[in-house]
Amino acid sequence: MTNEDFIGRKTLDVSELPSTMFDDKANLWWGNNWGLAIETTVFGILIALYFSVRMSISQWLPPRTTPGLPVLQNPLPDLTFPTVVLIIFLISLAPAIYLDLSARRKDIFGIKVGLVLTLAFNIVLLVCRYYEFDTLHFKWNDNAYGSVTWTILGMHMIHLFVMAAEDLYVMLWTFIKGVDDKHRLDLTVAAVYWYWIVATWVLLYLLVFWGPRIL
Amino acid sequence: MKDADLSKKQSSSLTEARINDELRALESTWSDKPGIIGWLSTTDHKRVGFRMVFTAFCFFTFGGILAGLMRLQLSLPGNNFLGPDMYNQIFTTHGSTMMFLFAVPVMEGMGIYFVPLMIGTRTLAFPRLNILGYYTYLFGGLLLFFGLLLNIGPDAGWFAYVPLSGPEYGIGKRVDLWSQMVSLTEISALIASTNIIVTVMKLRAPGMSLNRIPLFVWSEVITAVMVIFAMPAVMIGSSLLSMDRLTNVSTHFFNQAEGGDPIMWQHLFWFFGHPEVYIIFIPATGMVSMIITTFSRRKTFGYTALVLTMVATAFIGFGVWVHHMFVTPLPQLGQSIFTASSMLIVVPNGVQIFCWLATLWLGRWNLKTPLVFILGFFGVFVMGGLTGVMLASLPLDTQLHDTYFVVAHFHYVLIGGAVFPLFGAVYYWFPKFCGRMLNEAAGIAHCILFFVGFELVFFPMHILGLIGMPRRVYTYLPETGWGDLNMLASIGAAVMVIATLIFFINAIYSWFWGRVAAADPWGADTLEWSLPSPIPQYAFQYQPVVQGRHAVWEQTADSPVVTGLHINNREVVATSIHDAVPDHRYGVQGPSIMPFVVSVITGAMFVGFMFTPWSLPLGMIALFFGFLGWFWSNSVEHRPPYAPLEDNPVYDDPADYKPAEAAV
Repeated sequence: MTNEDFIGRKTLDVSELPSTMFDDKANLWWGNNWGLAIETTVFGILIALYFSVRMSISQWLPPRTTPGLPVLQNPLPDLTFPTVVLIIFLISLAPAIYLDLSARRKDIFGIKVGLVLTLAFNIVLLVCRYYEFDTLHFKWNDNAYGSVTWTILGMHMIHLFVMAAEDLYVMLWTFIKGVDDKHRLDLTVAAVYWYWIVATWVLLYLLVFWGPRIL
Repeated sequence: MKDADLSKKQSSSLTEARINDELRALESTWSDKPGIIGWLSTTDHKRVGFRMVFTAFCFFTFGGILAGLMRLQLSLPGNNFLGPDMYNQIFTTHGSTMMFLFAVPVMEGMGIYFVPLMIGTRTLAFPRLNILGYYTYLFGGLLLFFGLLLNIGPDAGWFAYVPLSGPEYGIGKRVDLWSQMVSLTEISALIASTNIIVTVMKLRAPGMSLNRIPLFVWSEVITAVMVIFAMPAVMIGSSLLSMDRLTNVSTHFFNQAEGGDPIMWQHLFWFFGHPEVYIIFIPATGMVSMIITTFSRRKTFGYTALVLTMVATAFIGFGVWVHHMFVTPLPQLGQSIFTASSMLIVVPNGVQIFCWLATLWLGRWNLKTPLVFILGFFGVFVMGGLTGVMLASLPLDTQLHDTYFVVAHFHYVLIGGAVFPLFGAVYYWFPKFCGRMLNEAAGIAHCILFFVGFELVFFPMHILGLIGMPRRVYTYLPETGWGDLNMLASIGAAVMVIATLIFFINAIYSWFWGRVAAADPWGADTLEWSLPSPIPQYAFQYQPVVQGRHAVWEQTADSPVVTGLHINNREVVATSIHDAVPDHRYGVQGPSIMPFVVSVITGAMFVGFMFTPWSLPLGMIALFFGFLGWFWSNSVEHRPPYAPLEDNPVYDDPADYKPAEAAV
């Protein structure tokens, strides 16, 4: 169409529309959720892999015969420490929800507190994860069981790192530049990411730490 | 003109002065930065899409040259033009190139280019991610050919079965090059898919409800959803393979001695690998639908059926992967289920074919090159589909597994199902790329020679397979009696090379000296044809309000247009998912060099992982700073001037917003 074609045309004026939307009206929210669909598929495949390892190992669990370490006939992973970590994960939902709500309410103080708290929880959980690897009693290169459990914990840990980075970016922006409408959306989307991280961990915790006892 | 003036509610009449003012502003707002940095940092989906298509055709050429070398080697029994090792590298690189570096990216590239235009918007939802995806794809592709040129190309076949590709037999870094190439190109595909889905969900022009989306756009969305659930399998698979292979990591995923399972590799690969075929084929069906509608000069017959058949193909496509593994020890019930599901897939494809035939039957043909290619597609693809039904049958597959019959089958399906429509689409959309038409006579010659050459190469392969010639042998003895048919196939390959050369010469000539194209030279129905050829960077001077399923055909002189968007910032209208009612103004980021930087870091991280696991933490630290730069530049330089928090009303629900009557 040329300029002439537009002269005097009826128009649909959108200038009054807002420039930010939340949840399923926001592009970023959908982008984030489709991204999480990819990552959920990744974990789905890792879970399938775990069961495949279970099927190909006749003596479950495989005894630990790593040179230099005491032989363990039935090396079940520890339960106490991972369960405590799981509880911390669940508690960490509170600051994330608070952050989410504060962003919607435009409560700047709430946003700042929420950001600091979620990042603090994130860092604590990263440290916990480091020690959680020891509760498996296997190394990644001992056998396929070790490989798959380390990979599950490791993949989830990568998400903890990514979330920490995301939190740090938005935090820097919030404390240096203040909060604007666009970044309020970022905050709610980051909260959704955290909900997902916690939800997947509940499943993975059951698989990795209860699976050897039940399967 | 100040932003504040533009964002105020405007009077509904568009005057000449206002149109001219706004056009000037749009031109500068949507243009790229100058120079090499500007070239590297473009976020224009048309430029990125074209680069993707162009790069994919370069890889198509390289892959084709490799195919030619194989045909030379096999033309005579006992030939020693290529040795066994070089032959292994060549067929592996040929297959990997055509699947990972040509077929998928070229379809994505066409989607990146045309989806936003067809839905009447100016950009993809995440333009910077888009260019990141292109660079990761490019680096992945270069990695593969870097290996081949140094004579360390991967040599375990395009599906890299363990243990052949594992640490025990896969020597050196050959398979690592393959697995990192796979990871990089799959990242690119996942990025493009997320982008296309969100764009189509949220950025359609007002009035383009779900039942008015062009079929090509549907095909790209359905493909993108498939990518999201299929590609992770191969990404995980190739990452696990490289972890198994890396000496100081040495996991045991595929090592039977330590509780791993080599068959699991095949499951992981084919859970991606079979949907991959539909990831390549479904966009091609979208192209077929567009071309048939335009060149039959009538509305598409069975629009709803065509959309549903694509969805059905996508669903069933996830349930057939085990038919690639019929000769592995599988439970018999499983074998029967996968035979049945593999046969089931002909149902939606058959419905699709009949919808197209009905459109053609009821239309007035405009027999130009694009349509001729589609006729070629029917001839080749239907036959490939039929051999597919044969191979779905377990007893027959057991007999024909790993023979040339399979090679013939999948070339009929992939070249027939994807390359013929793709060539048709290039002839069809060429005017949008450069404002000139491809030469018709050369196009017809290209199509006929390509068809004849194709049949000469691949039809004899059915017979070769039936009489027992296995795949992937670098030579054979004269006593086998395979010589004549192989010679015939090699002659056919030469004909295909000539046909493709005609195409390249035509494309280069027409790009500079071809007949100048009008905006809509074919009388087509989708929105990209309402734009000038070639398309300006801002695409739509005013975003249209869509009136019907065939947007251009149903546009009238008083069809309304969208006004009131910022024109000094990159802004488009975002609409609701079902009915495409405007719900907000969506500002997108301008160009940035950071996606390039991030993709270089990503590429380096993956290359580094071939040698040391430490590249992962180091790469992640580097990526942290890369993304920080990305985030910050996005927010500082190019951010549209959003209102300060205090002044902006909380506006979560568009219910109180009533679009102008025109939109409904």
